[in-house]
Amino acid sequence: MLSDKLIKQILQVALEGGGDFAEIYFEDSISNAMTLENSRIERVKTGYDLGVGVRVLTGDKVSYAYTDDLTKESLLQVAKVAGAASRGSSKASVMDLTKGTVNLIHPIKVRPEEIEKAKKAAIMERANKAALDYDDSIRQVMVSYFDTTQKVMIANSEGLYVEDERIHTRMMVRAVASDGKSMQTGSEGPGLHMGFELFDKYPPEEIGREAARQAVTMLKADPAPSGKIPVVINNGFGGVLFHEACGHGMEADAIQKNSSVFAGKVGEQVASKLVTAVDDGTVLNAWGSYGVDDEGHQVQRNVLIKDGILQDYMYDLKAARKEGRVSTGSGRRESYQSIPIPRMTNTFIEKGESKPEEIIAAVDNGLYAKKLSGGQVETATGEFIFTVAEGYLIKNGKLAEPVKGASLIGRGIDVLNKIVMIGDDLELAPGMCGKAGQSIPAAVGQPTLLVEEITVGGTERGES
Amino acid sequence: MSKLNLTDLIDKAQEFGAEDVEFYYEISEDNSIEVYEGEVESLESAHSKGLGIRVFVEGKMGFAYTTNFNDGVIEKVIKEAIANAKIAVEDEHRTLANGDYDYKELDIYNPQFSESSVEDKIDLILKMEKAALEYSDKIESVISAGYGDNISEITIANSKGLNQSYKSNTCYAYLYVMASEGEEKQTASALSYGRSLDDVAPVQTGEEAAENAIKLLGGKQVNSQEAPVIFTPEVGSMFLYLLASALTAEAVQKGRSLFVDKLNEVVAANKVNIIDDGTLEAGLATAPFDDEGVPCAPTNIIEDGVLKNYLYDIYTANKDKVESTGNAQRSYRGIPNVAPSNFYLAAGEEKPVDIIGGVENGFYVHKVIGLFSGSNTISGDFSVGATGQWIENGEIKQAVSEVTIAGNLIDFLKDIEELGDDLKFNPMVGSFGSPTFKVKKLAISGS
Repeated sequence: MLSDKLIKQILQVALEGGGDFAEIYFEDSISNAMTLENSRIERVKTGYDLGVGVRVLTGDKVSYAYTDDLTKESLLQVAKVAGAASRGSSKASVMDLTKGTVNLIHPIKVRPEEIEKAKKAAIMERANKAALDYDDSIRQVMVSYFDTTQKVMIANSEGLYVEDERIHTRMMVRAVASDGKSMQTGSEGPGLHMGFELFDKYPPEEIGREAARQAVTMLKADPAPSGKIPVVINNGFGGVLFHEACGHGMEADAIQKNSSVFAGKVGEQVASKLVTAVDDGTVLNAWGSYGVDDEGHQVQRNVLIKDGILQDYMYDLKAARKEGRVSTGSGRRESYQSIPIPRMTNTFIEKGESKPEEIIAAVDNGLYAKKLSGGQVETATGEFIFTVAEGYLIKNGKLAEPVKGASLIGRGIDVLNKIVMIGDDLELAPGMCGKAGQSIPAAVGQPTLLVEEITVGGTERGES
Repeated sequence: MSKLNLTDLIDKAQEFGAEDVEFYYEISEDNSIEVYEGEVESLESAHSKGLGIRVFVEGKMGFAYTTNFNDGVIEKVIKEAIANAKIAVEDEHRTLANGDYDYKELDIYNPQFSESSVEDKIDLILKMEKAALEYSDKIESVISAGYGDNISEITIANSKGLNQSYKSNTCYAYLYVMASEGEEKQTASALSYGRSLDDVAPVQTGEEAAENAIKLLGGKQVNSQEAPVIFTPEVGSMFLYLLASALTAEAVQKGRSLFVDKLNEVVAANKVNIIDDGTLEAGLATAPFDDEGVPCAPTNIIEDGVLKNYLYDIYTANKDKVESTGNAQRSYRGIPNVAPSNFYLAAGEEKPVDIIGGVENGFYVHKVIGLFSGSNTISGDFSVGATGQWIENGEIKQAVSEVTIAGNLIDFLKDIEELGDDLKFNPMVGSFGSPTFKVKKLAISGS
């Protein structure tokens, strides 16, 4: 790490251009990844990322420069470049650094570096075998494993100095099933802000079997119908719909640019009364959790919607300064190569009172989206499309045959208003969230819930 | 910037026990600027470098990279790569490029570019933002307007005697605008790029984004039906992106492509030609050699409707006992993969207005969402959300939104009836190009 004296010097040089706030972000990360395909371990990788970024704020303008050369000359040069670009007229000075601590520590039992590479490979092989053994129709299995250990230090001209460490471990299994006529895939990929103890919680065999089960089930699926019908969305990764179609619209940068349907709606009803939604980075060891954000702000729980009423947005420091308020601890960045922006942590709809089976039983004729895969959203309008990786028809309150190729389309705010039942089975699921070219770990989540009507685009032909 | 002596490092890696070694070294300089409402909102600048190391031990490959060049770190990273190789399975098809190639001279580096001033760059985005805002009262805001440039130098050296490098630069400006009418909002984006600031057309780009957002206002669902669909170059290039992912030898060898066992078969209409060309100077994915050191070259993938070739890197070429097409792609952070370079559907001769004029009842698609999550490149089935305009009797009648279009990629290629003369590359998603074209029929689901 850098000495206090050097940090102060860098911050001072950064402020010489007239900016009113300067910050250093230091990152030292190690990542390990490997893949298994056709039962062979391939692509074994290790990466070392080390670098420093210097940010200067002048009102609501930001200038940023980074380097991976940690010599004193280079660091001062970076500070000078960021400072010169700030073009301010402030005479701010650097306060003495006070070493702060992280209030919430996510306990790590087995650190990635304590586990030999061969042991990581063995976990992958167990998942692979379980998937292959699940059914004769399983033709291919791909397993990928990765862990990252990211150490960060953030110091700023207001005297903040804090260090945090984030450890993530994840394994993903993709299985391909074929009956000779068609091929279907299934995937499962648990990940948490923890070390190798992840696999005590998620035995590799279960991960492999779950991926295989989906692929085999979808072999028997018929093309999905299209039309406006009730849709039950399963818990866990189903929350990706809220994250993408609503969560991004509650990030303060989108609000301040009025490029969100949620702008100016705090205190207003934006969802069905059943809906309470939060962004909560304090969930212990959850995939999107941390101790302090990438601006050194302590992580917190932020209520976005309470009983259908919009409460607040997610702020980073820059957006908060603009409104003269404090950050919500939502300033995140992919690495030292990026500026922090408002982001989500673990975003989910809170649990309700219905049993999942009561929710299915309430639908005469609809779709059960057991597993969503990817999707895409236009944040400014909230328009979305999501693909249902594993879907079933619901007939007379009972699950019927599986269907493939269904996509859900609509607008986030419309869906929020059409939620008519919420289950008691809240679960979180990991994902990689992309925004402004930066990819970060974020968890999504929800209980099982019923949307009274969504447009389903199917692949069944000859419909009109 | 300090120069690494890669030849010495190769010797060192061999001393540590590697049989073969490859270094991929990237030095780059990046700048980006964003403006909002006439003011500079952010300015970023960076100098960075990274070294990717591939080693082979007993025919097994291992990899590691670093951005940390402190004393002793490179040695540690080489050792880590060797340790990684020991975990992997032996694979005879993993080999390195052999030393001797002739590379084509390409004009992809503008030595004057580094003298461009920040003021000129800022001025350019401000002009672009202003052009969009002034285009019409219906333009509610320019959500983002930005500029970026990059100068990079790539060096590849390996134990087979290869040691080559090249420099290139690019710059681009983009914007994302929102138009509104009453409660309804629509967005659109546009981008302009080149190798000097003069190549970037701010006013034209600003107006293009504004026009595209406005014409989609007032969109309604249409009834579900089968109808002809016309694709803009922007949407067409997204489909090219999707097709390219199924046309890599990797996808084919792993059985993850609808083009498995289709070589020399008719897979598209006779007028369809799809080409990958890493030497196209106008393209953004242009270089004298690919990321393993193999020369870039034009490759006909689909010629007059017939599937002629796949995209290859050395690994997949070894498996099929053919030559690499120069399509290895990576950064210093990763192992090479097969990927398209400048990949495009060749233009036809018709004017886009004439293609529209010939449609009695059909859909003109301007935007699609969910193309990648909604497509199965094994079966070829796709279903995407689409926004655009409805055509009746050769004229644009009204905007259409919240519908999906679905079909199969093979039927789609075989049903391409007309090709425009307006080939355009869309660098938003890589370097994929397409003209306006018409597909005979696709399933549209709406209300």
